[in-house]
Amino acid sequence: MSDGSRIPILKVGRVLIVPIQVDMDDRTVIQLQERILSELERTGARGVLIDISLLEMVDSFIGRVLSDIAAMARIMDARTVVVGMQPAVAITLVELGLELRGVDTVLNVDEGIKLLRDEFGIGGDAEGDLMQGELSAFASEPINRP
Amino acid sequence: MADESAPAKTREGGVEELLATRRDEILNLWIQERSESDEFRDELISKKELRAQSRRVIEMLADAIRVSARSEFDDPAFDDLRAYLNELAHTRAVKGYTPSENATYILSLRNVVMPLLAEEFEGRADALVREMNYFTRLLDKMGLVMVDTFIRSREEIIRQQRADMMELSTPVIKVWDKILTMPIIGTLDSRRAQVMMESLLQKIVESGSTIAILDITGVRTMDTLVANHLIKTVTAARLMGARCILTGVSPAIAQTMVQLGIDLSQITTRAQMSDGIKLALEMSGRAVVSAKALSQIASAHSAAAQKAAALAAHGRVITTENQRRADEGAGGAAAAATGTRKSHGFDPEG
Amino acid sequence: MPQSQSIALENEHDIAVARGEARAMAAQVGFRLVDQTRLATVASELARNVVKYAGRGRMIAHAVEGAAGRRGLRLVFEDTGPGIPDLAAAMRDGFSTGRGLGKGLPGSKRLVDEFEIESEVGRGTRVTVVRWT
Repeated sequence: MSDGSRIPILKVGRVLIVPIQVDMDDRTVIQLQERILSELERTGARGVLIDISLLEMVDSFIGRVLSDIAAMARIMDARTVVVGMQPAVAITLVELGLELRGVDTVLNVDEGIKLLRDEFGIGGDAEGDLMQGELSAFASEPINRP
Repeated sequence: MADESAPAKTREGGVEELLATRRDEILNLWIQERSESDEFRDELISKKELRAQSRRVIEMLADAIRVSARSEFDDPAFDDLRAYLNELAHTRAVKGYTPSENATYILSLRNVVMPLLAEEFEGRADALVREMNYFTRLLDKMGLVMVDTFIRSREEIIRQQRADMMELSTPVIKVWDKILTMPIIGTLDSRRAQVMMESLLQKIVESGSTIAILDITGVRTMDTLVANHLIKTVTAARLMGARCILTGVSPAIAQTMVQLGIDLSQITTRAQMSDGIKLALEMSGRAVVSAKALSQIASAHSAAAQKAAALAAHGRVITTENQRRADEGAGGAAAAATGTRKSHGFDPEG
Repeated sequence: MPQSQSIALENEHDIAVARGEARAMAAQVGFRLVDQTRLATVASELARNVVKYAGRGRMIAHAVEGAAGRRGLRLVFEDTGPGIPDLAAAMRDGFSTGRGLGKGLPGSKRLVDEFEIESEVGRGTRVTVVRWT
């Protein structure tokens, strides 16, 4: 079990990208939440993209923390998008009755970047055309190869 | 051949002695009886194979009777015979015999042996009755083993075929970039609905499709379990970041769903699959317009009008996406339709 | 294949151990991926309840065989904690949208085929779940 500091938080343009690659225990999850918020403050990023394509299980605890991250980031004027939910995880969440309230979920990194750019205007403004290019280039790299 | 170590009851030599000493005769009669019967399936088994199998049955039966000192079929001495019969039954199940053909095979041995027993025990009525009863009891048990194993094997085969069929009968088809459709045909039971759900969700991930059209035109009836699976599929897809459109809901099924109290307000529905495809295209930022109409709209831009006219001449439907690309090349301004995002909180259809 | 495993549930890290074990055993029994995920998730939920409400307890996982040779996995979560005073209410509460998430028992029940809960105030709680292949 890795501790919270081993999960990378990458910054590309104005977006923080968080690829979750391991099963996390509760403490790791909370640490990750704290790290994301502190990075948001430090960098002034306006978007958070959490990649869960390698996460094999989302229970009520992780679900609630994802909702919390989205809510807290919003207060800090940043939008959160969760990408890459596995089918087995989605089916289990539906059966559990969890809604992931307040969390925008999209299919993959490409859709996530599109959402942040088109819907929330993050990473697509004038100064960000360069960053948009960066984002797109980054998205086509296999950061979430299963 | 009498068994010297056995107690008095075998002193006269019973059916096992008959089976041993007149084995070949019995075998020939049995084979003949089988091949002349109506049930003989010479396309399924060769005479040679039948002979080999039958000979083994007779030999193992004789051995088991002797070794067990004429005990009943549940004695451990009969285990090898039972195992062999299981094997035979399974093989015949795979080949396609019917259960009665299987049982008849064994029971027909009685037709052959009984007359011979009568010969051997002529004048000894009590002994004859005893042997006939004993032999009949054994053969009945053997016939039952054949049928039981056979039925279990067949059920296993049917289960496997059903699984194969389920996989093949629910194709998921890509109709456009990022748009999938799953036409569901035939009876939908809970198990099939489960398989379909997993298959669709998997294809959504693999193809990166954000819209899935579920067409149930071909579904005649639906019960609560299946309807719940459908709703579960739509909700799970939404959680993953894909939107589902349900098409082809017949009046009968619409009635059923309402009567079952199923909440369809969360699901986008359309009457026809074609309407679903049109909606899916619009949801992903495209409009379907005739080339003529588009060329009229773009008539202010001669370059665009020329392009549209050229395409119209080929009878091609233009979508705003490739029209925009064409305009970008011509330096014109095209109305770029913005797509709707597929976040689960967003519902353009209400 | 180990027929039975016992996992101590004494701190929040053990929750992750428990769900890992549940998934591993589910794989050994022969469950498909989505069922493995269901079992790992229900283990996570119920193990967390033990740690959160009783402080300590254990999970026992064992492969079971049912009618006609059908295979399954049984998970038992037991503790000697305070117990649940109103079982009926606990089985009604789902996940609320507020801070408290409740015990999530109705949701956990939907992930399995059999669900049994025994609890006595002051003595403890035992939750038994079974899923069949």
